[in-house]
Amino acid sequence: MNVEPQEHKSGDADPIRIELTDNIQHVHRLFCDTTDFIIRTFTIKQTGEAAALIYIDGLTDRPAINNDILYPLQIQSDAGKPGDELVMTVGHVDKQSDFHHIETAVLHGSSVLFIHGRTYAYVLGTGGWPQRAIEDPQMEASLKGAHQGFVETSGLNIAMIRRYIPNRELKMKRLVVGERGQTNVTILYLADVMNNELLLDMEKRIQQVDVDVILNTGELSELIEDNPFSLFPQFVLTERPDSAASQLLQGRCVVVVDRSPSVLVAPVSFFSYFQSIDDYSTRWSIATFLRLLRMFAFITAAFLPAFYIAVVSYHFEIIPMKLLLTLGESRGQVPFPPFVEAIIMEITLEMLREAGVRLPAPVGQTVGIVGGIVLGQAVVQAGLISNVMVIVVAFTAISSFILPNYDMVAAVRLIRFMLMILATLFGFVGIIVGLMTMIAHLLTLKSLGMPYGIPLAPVKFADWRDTIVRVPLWLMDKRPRSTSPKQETRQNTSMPKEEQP
Amino acid sequence: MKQQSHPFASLIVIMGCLILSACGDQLSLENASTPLALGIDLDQDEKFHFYATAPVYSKNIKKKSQEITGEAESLRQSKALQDSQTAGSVQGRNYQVLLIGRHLLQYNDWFPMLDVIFRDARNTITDRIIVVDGSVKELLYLNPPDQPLLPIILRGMVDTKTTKSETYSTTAQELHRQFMDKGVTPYVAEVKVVNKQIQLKGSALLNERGKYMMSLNAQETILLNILQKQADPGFSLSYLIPDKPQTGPFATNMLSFTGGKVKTSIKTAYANQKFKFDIHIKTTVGLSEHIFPIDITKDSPKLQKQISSLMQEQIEGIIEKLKKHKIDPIGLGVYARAYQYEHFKQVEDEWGEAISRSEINVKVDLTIGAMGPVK
Repeated sequence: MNVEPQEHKSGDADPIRIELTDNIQHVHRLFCDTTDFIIRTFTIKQTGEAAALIYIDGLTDRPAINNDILYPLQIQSDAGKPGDELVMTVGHVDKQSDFHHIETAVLHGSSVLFIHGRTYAYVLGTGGWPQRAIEDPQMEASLKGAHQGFVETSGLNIAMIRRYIPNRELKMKRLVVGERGQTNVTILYLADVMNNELLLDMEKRIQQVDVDVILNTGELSELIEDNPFSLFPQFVLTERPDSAASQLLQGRCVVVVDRSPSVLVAPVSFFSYFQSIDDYSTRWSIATFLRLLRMFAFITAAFLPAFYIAVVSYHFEIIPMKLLLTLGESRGQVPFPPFVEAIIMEITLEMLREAGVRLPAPVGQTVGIVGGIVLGQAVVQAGLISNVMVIVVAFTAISSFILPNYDMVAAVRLIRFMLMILATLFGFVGIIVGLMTMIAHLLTLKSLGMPYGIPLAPVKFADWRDTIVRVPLWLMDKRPRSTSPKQETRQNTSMPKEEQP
Repeated sequence: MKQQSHPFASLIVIMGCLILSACGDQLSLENASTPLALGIDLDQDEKFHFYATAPVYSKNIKKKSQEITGEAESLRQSKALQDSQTAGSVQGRNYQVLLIGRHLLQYNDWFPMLDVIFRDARNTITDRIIVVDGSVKELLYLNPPDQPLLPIILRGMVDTKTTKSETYSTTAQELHRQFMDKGVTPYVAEVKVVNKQIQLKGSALLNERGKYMMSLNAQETILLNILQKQADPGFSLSYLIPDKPQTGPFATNMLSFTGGKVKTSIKTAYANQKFKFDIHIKTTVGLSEHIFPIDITKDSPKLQKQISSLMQEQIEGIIEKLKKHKIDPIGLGVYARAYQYEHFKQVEDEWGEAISRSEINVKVDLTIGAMGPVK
């Protein structure tokens, strides 16, 4: 793999010596106590020079080393003289004369060939590390979309995106983040669509990150987001190549982090979290309905338990009479105040959910049974929790499950607890104060410098076509204004006409 | 001062403010006693009594409601007495019905007794006002074992019959309007206990100071609704057709019809020191029952004329009674105020008197639109 040096400290230059043995000794010093490090010494048949090939076992592709380097150099060759170009059937070959670069390259899976008498070494792209096969995305399953999800190798991930956009305007910038981890971070963008200022901003933010290592896209996202104290996610993380391609076409940039199976999309708005790639492959009326349903689910997931607490402990005059009788009977036998009742059930739900995530699938089912039967039924029969509370919690849980983005669901979970506390303290007044604070916060929030509430606040009327509703595709002739793209026109399709065969 | 400590300090201040100022008026459902019906009446010694019935939220107690009663000077003054009879704090937030005894309605000016209902904003004002022909106490302690809670029956009774125009679901707020508006006198629903059964009588009409004047049965209430332009399609009227033979014990000269959309127009005039109202009622009805044989296709003009005049007679009878009692539940005063403001202004404080002197003409134009699927 080609790796650029992350920082070139000029005073630290460590050049290659002429003597092969010196070089081998130096390499030995650099990689002492490294049992997977291998040095192979041999004589090149073509030129008769002594050579040493170094690489790390496991990070390199063994057949490539055997067949494309060692075999041509040792066996199959015409006679030559020292200093000749070598015959090797490796695609990527780079000459380096500095131990800094060589060290980095070896650690990233390249093999390096030292030759006696030459003041440079060949860095050979033989990277081949353990890899997972491409699978269905786990977090963002889709009915009609593609069934390929990103994997842990950025090269493959970029290739998957490129399959959707085979266009030379799909450009990328490669940055290396992490002092120790040397993580490859690639910004992908459409050069004739993406706004330059946003792109520069993104590049600057990533360059300013100075950490040991970036293990996951989520870490990078936390290090570069606009408001680190906000509960709301400010970048979309997706593990779907088709989503990423769609976002690129809308004028956003996609950041691919090596070793992480999700990519980061910026800039995004609050409404991006309610869109799913399936929206564009189902009929527009259904997609619109689903989007409205998700907005409704967001509201219920955040507000329903708080609303219940407020009604039962402050405002029972708004309960219709027949419901009042049921509710009263149900609440009458519960020994806890409404808030305690609600908090017990909500925390139980959160625990069940966490347990379900971590446990292997067969045990996960047991959790479902314990949660559903033991808690749902026994708790009510024992008179500890009211029936209505169980319904409220179940409804809340279902509501949060239909939101397509995990980060937004996580935010909603915390907001729910805050609103529950406010509802306990002040009833509806508290809920309204919480709601207003939340709206004010959403309005001030930014994602990569672009307003988070766009296109509702500030109003970009043209973008409403693909926000809360989804109009027919042939009406979406412009790219969203919310990304201030360079090129606005996306398509010139008109409404399909009925035609005689 | 370190700059960094500010957000943290303000957080503590905010939390403090929140917690210290909170929970002031918290009262959870199970700690409150929420009567669904409130009753007011006088006892034999002309003493003011309040009655209330609250649901009991428990599976183990057979009787589903608890009655509260007591002698009081006023409703709010008796709060302590009300509270003392229940486990929770009595809250007037969920009243479904407000029962008023006929005994109390023999007096003028009882309406201010309900002031707390309107002034304490926690109290509901969507409760239906129902006049009880008899004693409120008897009704409230009836608790028939084969029926749901009293407030549920009463509320359901009043609300569904109102859609058929057979009574009025006058809310407390609406009653307040009817008392305040000088162009109309109050009208509310009326129930009676007959053989331990609750029965909806129709409506009770009060004068402008709240005194009970007269009652209307279901059919008369429908006609009053028509005059008020409130009758919804679907009401049902029945008349005995005079020239049809009656045989045996059956009322074979009976005819019933279902009303369609009614168009009522009221023309207002003032002449000879009195108001003149011309009420013209036009409607198309569908026959729902005629026990005597008749060929509608041939005889319908004659039948239409007969029914029209029967209906007109009955309406005129009602208007005569209204004039006799000097009340105006139709709200003719509203028309007078709109069209004859100067003249109305002079008599608005004794509008009842003016209405009794006024001339009210009614004309009914009825068309039979459907005769049913059988011949």
